Amino acid sequence: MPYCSKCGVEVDIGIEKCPLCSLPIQQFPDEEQKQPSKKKYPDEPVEHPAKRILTPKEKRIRAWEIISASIMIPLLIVTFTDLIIAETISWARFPMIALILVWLLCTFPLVFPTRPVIMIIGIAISLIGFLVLVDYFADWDIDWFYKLALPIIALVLFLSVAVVIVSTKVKKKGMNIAAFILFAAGILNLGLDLIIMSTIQHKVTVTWSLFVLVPTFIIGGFLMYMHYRFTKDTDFKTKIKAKFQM
Amino acid sequence: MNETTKMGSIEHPIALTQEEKNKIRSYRMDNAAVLFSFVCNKRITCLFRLSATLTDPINVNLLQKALDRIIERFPYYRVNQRPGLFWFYWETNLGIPKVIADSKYTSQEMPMRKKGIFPFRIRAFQNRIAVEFYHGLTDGTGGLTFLKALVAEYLTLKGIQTDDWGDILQYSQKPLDEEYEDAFKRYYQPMYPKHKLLEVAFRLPHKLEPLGIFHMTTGISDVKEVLARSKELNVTLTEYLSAVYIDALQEIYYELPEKMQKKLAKPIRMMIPVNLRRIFPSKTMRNFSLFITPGIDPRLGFFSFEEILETVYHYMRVEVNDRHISQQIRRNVRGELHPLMRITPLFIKRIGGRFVYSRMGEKLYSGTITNLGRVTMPEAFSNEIENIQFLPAPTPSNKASCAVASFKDKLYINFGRVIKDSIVERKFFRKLKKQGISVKIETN
Repeated sequence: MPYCSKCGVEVDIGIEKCPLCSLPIQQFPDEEQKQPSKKKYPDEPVEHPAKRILTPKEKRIRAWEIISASIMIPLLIVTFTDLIIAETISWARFPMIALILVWLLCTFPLVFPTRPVIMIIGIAISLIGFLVLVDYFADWDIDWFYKLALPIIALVLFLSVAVVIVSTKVKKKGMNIAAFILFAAGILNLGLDLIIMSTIQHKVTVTWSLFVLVPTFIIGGFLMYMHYRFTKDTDFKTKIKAKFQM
Repeated sequence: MNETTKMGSIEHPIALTQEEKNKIRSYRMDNAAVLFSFVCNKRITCLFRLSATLTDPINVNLLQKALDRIIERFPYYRVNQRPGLFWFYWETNLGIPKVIADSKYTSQEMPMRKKGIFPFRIRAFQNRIAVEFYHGLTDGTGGLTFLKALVAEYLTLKGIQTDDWGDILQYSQKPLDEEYEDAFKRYYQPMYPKHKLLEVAFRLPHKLEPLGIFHMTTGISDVKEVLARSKELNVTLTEYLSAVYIDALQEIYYELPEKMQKKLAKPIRMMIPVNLRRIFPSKTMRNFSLFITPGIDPRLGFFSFEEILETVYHYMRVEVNDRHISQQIRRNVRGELHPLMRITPLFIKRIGGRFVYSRMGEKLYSGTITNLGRVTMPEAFSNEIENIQFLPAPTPSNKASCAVASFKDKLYINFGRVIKDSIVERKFFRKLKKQGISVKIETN
């Protein structure tokens, strides 16, 4: 019977490597003529068939289904609670539109992930629609929406789109992305200040937003400097080490 | 599969009436099963396996017929695990267990919590009949009794006739009430002191294989050779093999990088199940085994093989007796019967159960060696059987474990492992070979 010269154990005829140490088993011509031993186990495992891997699209659709079902439950609860107690839809309209907004905000990125224009327009319309309804449902009149909500949404959308476009356009990504976000945050605060003050005091003036704007631009500027000054040279770490060597 | 085997002509009288057969009963789980019901999952499948290789290919239809008959003799195995509010329990499963094809990797997960699932599998491959038993249902002794009854029934249907059935349970017999009992509770001594909790043991640091891969290495030796060597050393066969296993683990430990040795410096301890039916008389067909844990501590320096053997020998002499085992029974049963434990809902028990199993079970030992002993069959059946083997369940904590059984003149040492490297078997079988014992290796 063939055996492993290292382990000293015998193996079946036809086995090429030692099952213990993987050393090739010496084959002898007279043994080669003998019938190889029968298989001890089947070649394939029966349990644990390869798990079906979902495609990204299937994953998204599944996530969308789960989110939709999860939102449907509280939506039905608030609707029926209001209907049973007040016999009409009264306070429930607010949680209802909030839940629908959440559903829409999840739906656009999950259903149209490769179509950014549809995604952005969809999200914008959803937000605008939500705020219009909140304003309208409060006193059955649209008042603060035009002065406050619409300009703020426009500003937020404009800045978000701008940051995304600029970030995708730049060749080297790093600290500059953080700087763009900081700049956008500063401008957003400035815009909020202007919109709110012009609505409340009826005059265009800048007050608290300067305390946000200045630090964000200073820190953002510093990040831009770090990014473009040091990443031009390939080895940023070496440069820093050299600057601070003791 | 060969489908041409002649059908047997012997028909047994039916032991149970139709009404008795279809009566749905529920059984409380035995003390060991309670813990297994909490911990079994994809990795810890809690499935051990017994197989009988016959001289002729298996006729699957005939095997199915034998199974249909013999399952009625074992009503306590014809069950399904069901969840209660506080515990899992067994409920009669009126379905019919089916013979299925064998797999490359044995003892893989069984969806135990699904309705209608039998807690065992019967598999056929070429000349081999294999049963994979959920450890919550029974232990090795119960599993072997079932396999022997199934093989005997199959061979009878094939036309093998004998008057000598030995200890084999027959289709025509009515099950005894004692076969259903939870013997742990029968021998529970509430006044005994607590059993001391052991320190966590050294475990192999190797990375686990992906889920579903379970390597099996079988070492086949001449039982007389191993017994002669054990006798020469004045120890039993189990003690001898345990000492070789510990020695192999010690070698693995000392081959680790120094940093890792320091990190893993813990006792090297074996888990050796003991069939309690030999100490406490019982005919139970459910779990009735506990384990003892001989070992060495590498922090005390290197142990020679003789020193290991001496340690194992004396440890076994001290621990394997009714008093010490009773202490273990007391600890386990008391945990189950404690009023606070009883009123805790099942979902909380399941979380706690995993912790208990880990801390009081699998983390306490570095390897497992379970010896079913000499398996015998009446001569007429024995002539038709090539071998009977015992295979361990996958243990992700120990990474490798060993199950031993002897049939006729051969000793079958089966190592199951969930790591890629066959380091444990390699060291173990090389050591046996060095001691003059010839070994033949087979794998899956």
